[in-house]
Amino acid sequence: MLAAPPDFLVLLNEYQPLLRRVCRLYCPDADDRQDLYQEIVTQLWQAWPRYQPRPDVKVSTWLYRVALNVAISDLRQRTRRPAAAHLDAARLPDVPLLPADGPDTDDLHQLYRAINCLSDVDKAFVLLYLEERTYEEMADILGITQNNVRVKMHRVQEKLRQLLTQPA
Amino acid sequence: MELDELRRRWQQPAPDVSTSYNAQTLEQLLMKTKQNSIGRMRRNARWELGFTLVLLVGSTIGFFYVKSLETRTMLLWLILISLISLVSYHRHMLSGIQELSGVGATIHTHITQRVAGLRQLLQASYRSSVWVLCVTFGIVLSFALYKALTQYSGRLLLIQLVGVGLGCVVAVVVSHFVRRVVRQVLQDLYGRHLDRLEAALSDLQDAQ
Repeated sequence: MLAAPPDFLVLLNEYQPLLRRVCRLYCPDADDRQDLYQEIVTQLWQAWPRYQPRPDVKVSTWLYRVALNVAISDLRQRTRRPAAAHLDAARLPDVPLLPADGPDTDDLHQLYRAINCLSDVDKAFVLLYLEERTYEEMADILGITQNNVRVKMHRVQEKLRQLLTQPA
Repeated sequence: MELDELRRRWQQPAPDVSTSYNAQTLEQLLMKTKQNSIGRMRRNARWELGFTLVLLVGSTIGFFYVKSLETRTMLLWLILISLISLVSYHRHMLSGIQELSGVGATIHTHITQRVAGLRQLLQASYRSSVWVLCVTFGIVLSFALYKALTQYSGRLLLIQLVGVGLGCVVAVVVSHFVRRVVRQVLQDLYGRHLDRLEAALSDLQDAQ
């Protein structure tokens, strides 16, 4: 039996929707999504004893870092997921939207399909934008300066707008 | 639809996928998780390290019990190879795997470490495979040559030398073939993943 620290369980229960949204963004396929979710929780569990809270850094910053790092760099996940399509050649793939994943609307469906055409790094920017993170926190998660976050975020939003205006 | 409107909808809670975790359900979740690639690499490296240690201990014990000069020389070679492998493994493989393990760093740092660690592992795997093969051929051919020079003479010696020469040619051909195969296998296993990570890093640095 694992001696799960109660604070980890509290953290997991509180931030589970966040982790699910990260998985939903990176994995259109339900099996891949569940694999990724389990992998993220495992990595969080293993990293939790080394986590040192700092007054100037939110716990969510650490969670985003771990979740995005696993989503972007896990080898097993990477070999299953297709590479992002180039914008010019992008045709929005038909991504199934599970009703269980959130509000089942055409707009969100279109959003997921557009996001699926982006690169892994661009997806991270989109996620942080959708999650309404500040530029400061984004910079802290991504490891680049706030100015660079602004520049890149502008480009990614433009790319996303273009994809959203494409016919399905 | 505007992005801001999508953002508002994005955060609406998902109704029925969330599970309320307790110690038992968390344990079940963790038990279900398949071992990831880093875990498998670490496990393989430990097995190889264990095998090398057994080889080292066995060769050392054998060295002190065996009387034949030929066998003792062979065992001395094995001890040397095992020692070099142990140092090399510790320095390159395990430290490379360690580099891949941290997930709490910023995404830029994490990907940079991953790329560096993976590249180090691939180089170490490639070099160790080629090195072990070349050294094995070297040992076998050296002994064959030594035996030919000390036990044969005249026409028989010539035949033996031709045999050793042919062995050298075979060794070069096989080494070349194995090098290509090892390179291809490593490329298939990790090369594309490395390419993707490098692309992600370049994408992230693109804004800088």
